[in-house]
Amino acid sequence: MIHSLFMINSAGDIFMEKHWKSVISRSVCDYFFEEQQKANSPEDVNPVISTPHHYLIHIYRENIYFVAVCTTEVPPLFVIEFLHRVVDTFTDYFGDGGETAIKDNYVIVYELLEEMLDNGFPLATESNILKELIKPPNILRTVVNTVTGSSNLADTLPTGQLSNVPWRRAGVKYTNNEAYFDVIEEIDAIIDKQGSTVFADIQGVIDCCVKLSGMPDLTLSFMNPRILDDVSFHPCVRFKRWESERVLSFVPPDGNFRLISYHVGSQNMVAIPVYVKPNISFREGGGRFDVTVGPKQTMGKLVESVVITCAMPKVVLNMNLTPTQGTYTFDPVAKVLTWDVGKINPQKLPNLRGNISLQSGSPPPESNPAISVQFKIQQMAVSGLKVNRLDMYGESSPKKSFSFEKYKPFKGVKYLTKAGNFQVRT
Amino acid sequence: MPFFAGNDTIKELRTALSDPAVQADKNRYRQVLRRVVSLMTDGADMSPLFPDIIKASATPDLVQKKLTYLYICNYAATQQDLALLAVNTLQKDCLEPNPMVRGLALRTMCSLRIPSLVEYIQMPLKRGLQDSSAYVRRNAVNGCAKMLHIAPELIQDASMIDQLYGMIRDKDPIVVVNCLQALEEILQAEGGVVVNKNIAHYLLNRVQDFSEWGQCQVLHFLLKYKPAEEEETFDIMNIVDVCLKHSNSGVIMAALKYFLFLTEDMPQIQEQVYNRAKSPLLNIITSGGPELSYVALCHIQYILTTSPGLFNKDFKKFFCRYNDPLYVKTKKLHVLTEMATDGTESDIVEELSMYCTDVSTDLATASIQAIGKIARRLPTSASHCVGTLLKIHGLQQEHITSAVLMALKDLVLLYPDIIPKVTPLLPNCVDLVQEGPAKATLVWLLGQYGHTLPNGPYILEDMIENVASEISIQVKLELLTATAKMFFSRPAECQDMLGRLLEYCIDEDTNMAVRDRALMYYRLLHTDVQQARRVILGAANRPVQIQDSDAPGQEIIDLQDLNTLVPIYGRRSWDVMVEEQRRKEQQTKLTNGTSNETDMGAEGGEEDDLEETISLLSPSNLTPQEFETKWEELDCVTTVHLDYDPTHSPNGLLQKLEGAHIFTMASSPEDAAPWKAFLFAVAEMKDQTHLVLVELCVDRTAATMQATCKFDADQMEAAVPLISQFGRILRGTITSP
Repeated sequence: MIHSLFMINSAGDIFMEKHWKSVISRSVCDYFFEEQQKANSPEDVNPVISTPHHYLIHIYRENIYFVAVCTTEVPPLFVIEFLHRVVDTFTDYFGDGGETAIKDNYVIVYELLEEMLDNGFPLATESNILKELIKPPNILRTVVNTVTGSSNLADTLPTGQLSNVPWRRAGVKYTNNEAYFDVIEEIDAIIDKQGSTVFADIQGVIDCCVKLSGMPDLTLSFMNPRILDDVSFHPCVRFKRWESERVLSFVPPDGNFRLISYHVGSQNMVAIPVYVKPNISFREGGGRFDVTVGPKQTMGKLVESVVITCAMPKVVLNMNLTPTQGTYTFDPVAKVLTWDVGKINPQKLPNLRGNISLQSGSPPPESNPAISVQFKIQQMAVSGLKVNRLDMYGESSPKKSFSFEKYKPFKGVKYLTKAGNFQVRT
Repeated sequence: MPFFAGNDTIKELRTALSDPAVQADKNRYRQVLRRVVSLMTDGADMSPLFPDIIKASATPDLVQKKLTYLYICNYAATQQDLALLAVNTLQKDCLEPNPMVRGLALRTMCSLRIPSLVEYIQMPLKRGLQDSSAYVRRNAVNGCAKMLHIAPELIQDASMIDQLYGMIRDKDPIVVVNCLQALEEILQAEGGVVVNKNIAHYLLNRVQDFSEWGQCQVLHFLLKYKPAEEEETFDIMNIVDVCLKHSNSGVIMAALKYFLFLTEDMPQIQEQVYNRAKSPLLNIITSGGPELSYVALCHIQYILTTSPGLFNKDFKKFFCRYNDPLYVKTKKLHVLTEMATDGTESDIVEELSMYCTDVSTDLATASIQAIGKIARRLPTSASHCVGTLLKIHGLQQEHITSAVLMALKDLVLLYPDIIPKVTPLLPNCVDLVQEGPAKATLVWLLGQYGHTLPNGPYILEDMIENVASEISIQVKLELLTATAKMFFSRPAECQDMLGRLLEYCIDEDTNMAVRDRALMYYRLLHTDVQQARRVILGAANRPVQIQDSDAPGQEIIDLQDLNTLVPIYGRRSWDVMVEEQRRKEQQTKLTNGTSNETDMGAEGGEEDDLEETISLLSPSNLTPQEFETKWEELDCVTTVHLDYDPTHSPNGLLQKLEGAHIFTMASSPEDAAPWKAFLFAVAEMKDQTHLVLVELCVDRTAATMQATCKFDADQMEAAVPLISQFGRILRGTITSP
């Protein structure tokens, strides 16, 4: 299925390659470079490229193209998902999946690729299992070792692979048992000039950090499960119980994982927590820029980490603005304006205004730029989703398996709402 | 950057590897190995260290083992003799108590790909299949698939296949999937692994156990089994339902395909399936990365052709974000165009018109085309679309105006009532539109409808003034036609300019097509003006076919194509592409099979459609002296390589050639080696005769012959068909029984 993988940096160097079947010459990447030449920006390279003998499917992440070479007809989504998983694993192991990290740890990269795929087909991609096969690199490992007192070697077979629950290893033991749940919602929206919503929906995830001994069986219930439109689950969730009772019942993997991702559709009205009042105009040689942001439906919560970015038209030479709060920068090469607003104080709305200067002689641009907004609101899930309770049944040690011992873990739920792809047209 | 490590580096590494102090310190030793592997990945040749590394592989340290195995796999192919030494260690490792080591060793052994080592691998592989550890079994099963290419007789053995079939019941889910995959490859000739009712039910019951990738593959294999009863189908659907809710889009797509396969004969249920799959699909578009979103969009476009109304309510999800990559935006435009209905059309066109001012001219052009396409598809929306197009036209930008003109060109033919709105715009466009195709469109519109404009002829006149500097042939052709049309409606104003244009095109233009058309018009007008009118204006009344490469309905939808690359390219382009690939592969085989010099037979095959044919005439007199001088003179030479059939005598060959009017001038004695003959022929082509001289040389030991042909052709045009045709005759005659 996947024959080879090439990693190509933005300068066009193939800095790493891995072949799972016979070696495919690097020259196959010439077809990729040809496509890359045609694209205006690095993101614009078409992800599926056909060549006389192979298909090249790539993703672009961390300024690297990960190019998979496939020969037979393949399910493209499968390959793309797998490539993403590879990069996720690198990020998980090295802290970031960039070129330097990969080059510094190429031996581990090879080991990982070897375990993740064999003969062209995916083997183990669960981070839990991989980490038992291949230990993460030094700094992290030394910390782990001092804490657990174990050696660097993974010379035992990963136990998780043989346990009845493929995503969890057996014999987990913690002195402090804890389970934390983060409900994170992102608002994707397009708002038009008048402030009305063109399109909005909410993408939510529940990320967990579960450190519990034994084989705990958890049940998570919601106050209002009906608002979840469209849910995808981690394989550990018992789907039938969700279908019938609308509760999440599962034996969790050990450590960090994503329990569910969901979607609150456009049927429900999406509360837009911020508004942006843009006023941008161009005339011959220059223009005015005046943007105000304010809170809208925030349920009394504070809107933080507000950042406004605006990709100005190419003819803009410079901008001379004054913010009432925060700092702004204008990158004259990429023509991107970034205004780091910070918190929004409802009594004194942040505003950024000033003049735009255009290249002399060029006509004023036809259209106004779109503004993209980032923000965070703590302790609020914009969809209104609320966790009701978390129950746990756990088996503390295999010896006492006849007696189900209930132990008291620390439990916690955090809510966070942030902007996903939040755009305001001007 | 590949570079060559100097001898010093190698020497230094070798010393380090054999230094007892380093060997004693596990960490230092690993560091050295790491350096070797890092240099290897950078492209430096580390093969001289092979013996040292093999020594290093005999170690209890797992990390060290992995590094050495990595090295061995890389260089085994080039160091086949030394690889034998590695096998020894590997075989020992296969008996280690640690399953991880066993698995690794087995995997490495199967990855060596050296045919001579098969006998050493056979035993460990068979043992591996029965190993108690799942990790080893996985590697063993994969090993079988890997060995298939170097030792097919070992793997395609009946007992081996039975064993693999048995292992589908393995308790480790990854072994099961690997097993299916291996069997599929091994049994490719017989149509792959057989999935009967038992296996299918077994797989379905375990579907939750498999990893996400395993699920994708299993769902693919399940397509081989079609349940007989409806009840069974529903049971299966209940089990697989969970896969549609998976977070991995690959699983979702595989499940959707499986569902559609199950409900192939139940249209109502199929509709429900689509509805159920709708939100996961939309999710991929809104929340997946751009690459996933692109592929999902391609699939949605494909699905839309069978169930057009499916995404009508969600059309807003297909609106572009400004930071989408261009390929996603373009795909979204296509989908939006195809989704537009009477209800949603106004919103969609409004949205599309926003993209017209995008910085990317490609997107702007594509969005204008999309509006044009919607107008063509939905007659009710035409007036709104045209209104929007006219508004956009007001922006006065070259690429926008060009695209608007091209879109309008198609619309005026469909909706004649918009003509009065379009014609007043044309004069403004003249200065703006410079590029070939757009300008040609403008000229065509002027010719067709320009007669209603008061200054219509004068716009054309300006263009005629500058015709000498026009590069585009298309524009010139259109200009000719437009001026001629204008002439029929407003003769007094146009006669002079038409004359000038015709004069320029006939006397000065270098392009054949332009000259031909000008001459035709000139002669037509010269003979009979009424007839000319009928011919030239007649074209406009012909019903116009609009070429619409990606219009729905043209695509043939096949369920089998879902979750493959087909929806990305579209069925038709895919077929063309696959055909192209096959042809190329055959061609490479062909060129590899014969010599590198000109192969006339292969060329001749492609030029079948050439009109010129040659015939070989009866003998003319040619003296040996003349032959010799001609042979020296002629420089149009080609060589044909042929196989020589030793059962035929050379003289028999000469007789055969004489039968085809290729005559012998001289030949060596029958048993001479190499045997040579000089031949000549007179070829007639297009009433001209050409002399052809041939030197035939037979190498009996190699059973080949070589014919050097010289042609008496002074022009290249004549030589090409002559060479290929003569080559074919020669080849045909010699190979005929």
